[in-house]
Amino acid sequence: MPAIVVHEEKCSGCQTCQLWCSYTFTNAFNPLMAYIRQEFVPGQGFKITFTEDCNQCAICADHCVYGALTLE
Amino acid sequence: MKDFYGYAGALLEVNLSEGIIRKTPLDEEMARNYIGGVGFSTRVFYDLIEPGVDPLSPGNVLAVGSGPLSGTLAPTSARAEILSKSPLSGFIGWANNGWSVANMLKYAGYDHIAVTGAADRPVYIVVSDDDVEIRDASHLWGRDTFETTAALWEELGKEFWVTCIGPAGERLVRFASPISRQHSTAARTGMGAVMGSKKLKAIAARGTKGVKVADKKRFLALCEEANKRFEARHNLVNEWRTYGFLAGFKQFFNTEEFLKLKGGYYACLSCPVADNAWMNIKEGKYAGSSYLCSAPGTKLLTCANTPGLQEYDEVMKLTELANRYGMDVFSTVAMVTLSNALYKGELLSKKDTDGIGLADNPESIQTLLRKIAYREGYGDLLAEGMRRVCAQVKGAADYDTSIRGIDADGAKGGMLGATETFGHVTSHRGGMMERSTSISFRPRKRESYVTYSATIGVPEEAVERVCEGPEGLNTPRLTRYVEDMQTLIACQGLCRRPPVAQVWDIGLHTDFYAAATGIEMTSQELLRSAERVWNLQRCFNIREGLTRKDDRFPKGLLPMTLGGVEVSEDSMDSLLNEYYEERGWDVETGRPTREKLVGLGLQDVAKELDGMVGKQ
Repeated sequence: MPAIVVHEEKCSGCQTCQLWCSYTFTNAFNPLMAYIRQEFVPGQGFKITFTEDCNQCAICADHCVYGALTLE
Repeated sequence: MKDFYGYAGALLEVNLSEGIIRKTPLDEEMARNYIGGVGFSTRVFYDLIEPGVDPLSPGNVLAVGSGPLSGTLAPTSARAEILSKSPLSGFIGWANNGWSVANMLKYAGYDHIAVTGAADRPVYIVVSDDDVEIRDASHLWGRDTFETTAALWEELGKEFWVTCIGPAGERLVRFASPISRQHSTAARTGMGAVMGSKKLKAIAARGTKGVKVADKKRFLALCEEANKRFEARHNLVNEWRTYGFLAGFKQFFNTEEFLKLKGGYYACLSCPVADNAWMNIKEGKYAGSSYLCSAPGTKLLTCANTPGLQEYDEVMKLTELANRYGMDVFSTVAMVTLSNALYKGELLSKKDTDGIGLADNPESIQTLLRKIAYREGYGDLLAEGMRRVCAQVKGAADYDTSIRGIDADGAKGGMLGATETFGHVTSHRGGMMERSTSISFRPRKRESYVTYSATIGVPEEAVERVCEGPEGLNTPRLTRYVEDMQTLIACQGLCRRPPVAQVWDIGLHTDFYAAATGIEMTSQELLRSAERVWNLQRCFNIREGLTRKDDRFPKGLLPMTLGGVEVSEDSMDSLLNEYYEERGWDVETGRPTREKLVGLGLQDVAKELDGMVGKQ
């Protein structure tokens, strides 16, 4: 199975990845319900992590239009 | 309680005078009639506020809401408006931003919050799902917006979204702005001053509830469709991601210098465009500074003719300072320009200006900013905004280029485009084009306006007269339909910037609304709800004493040509007549007719206005 590779420097902070994740697993939209986490770091950008419950299904990477999440 | 889709399903009211928190279930009639966002805010505000209250008194009402698409995967569903009676105009005011606390309030279960009354000491409101508290903010009072946000993140956790005010809001600077996430500004009309008058330092929210949609399959298919439309416009999207607002004005700017400062792009929730940017200053006196700038191009455009702000790093620094103080950067620059004009015109002396005289270099401009934010000395006068300064300084009346008190220098000469400029006058909040942005910012053929009219739902019977004129459009008549479409965008919770608005035609709005909420409405019914909101906003202003004579460009912005038609003090009357006629308003008074209001289901408002006949 291809692995999700994170390119934080390309992240726009749009949280689309989180909305797809929360919707896929809970049928509802909320970034806080997602297994992929994104933290705003003032002066720097975004830090992206995955919770222990993430099964690397890659729905997030499939929908990142900024190239911040890719599959390798 | 009814289960809602798209909507969170509840409205919140926090009365700061009494410390009372009320939660009211949303009803479907409210949803259908006012859609959400600024529509909900307008109705709640109209009902709760007493006519004639001082905008900076406890009687004013501050309203913030999200739309039915907010917080979902519908592209660009991040914008929210904060609405109140403006301390600059005395009429309705509002401002929108992308990281407003409104979206997180929706995840907490509330479509809307209205703040009434005023606290007797500094407070902040904290919402965590069902828990809503008014807390002491004495430890935050006096801090700038960056510090306040950081302190609240430290206290509550970074999952909280924060909208707060800085020193300018605390001191009731009439153009103070609430700031979200240390950069996202609800800039215009002085909503930060209203928060300050209520001693409301911040609203912080965290919600762990999910937003559900009625028809999952249809909703996701629409998201795919909308994203395909953005992909099909990748050249335009890339231009905006690279240059933001400068995309249409590149010939006037040194884009190489701009790109030297620009770091990464930055987006609001669900946005595939990302025209906000990290601005990283690498050289000079601000070397090492890095901060997030919402639409940096708008700031460069605003400062393009301001002496002392020709270097782009200076514009970014000025923007950062204005954001930290929590005040509208557009009004701030307008006040610097006004101050210099009054000094040059010998209406103010060096002594009047605390020894500053001409503020034409970065240092003196920054000094003025600080004086305004803290109302120090001369800054206390400038903090009152353009209209009051021009009324107070002897002989300065002709220097007032505001429309209903909202400085509108951008409209000078009509350079923003036809409907874009005309809408400065007809917008209820005054002096801004955010409800009249169409495609008329550059010359087009008539056929383009015919095509465009279809995308914004202009009724077939109106197309002929809307798309008629020397440049293919009738500016006042088209403005009427653009305003309704832009109001719908705001009610839905979407962004209105050009690359986005072009994707979101009326058909997409209609399909998305039904898929999200399960409430089927036709395109014309949705637009009618937007028209209802627009008319109610007009009625609020009329209740506050607005008359036809308030719908004017000040002399200082004229002459101009819009859509090939010359606009002068004389011709303005006939242009307004056309606008009122297209709106179904009384041409003589500029008031919505009883028939119009009843037709929109606003019988209660019609009755109230009937009672005012003869009083004006």
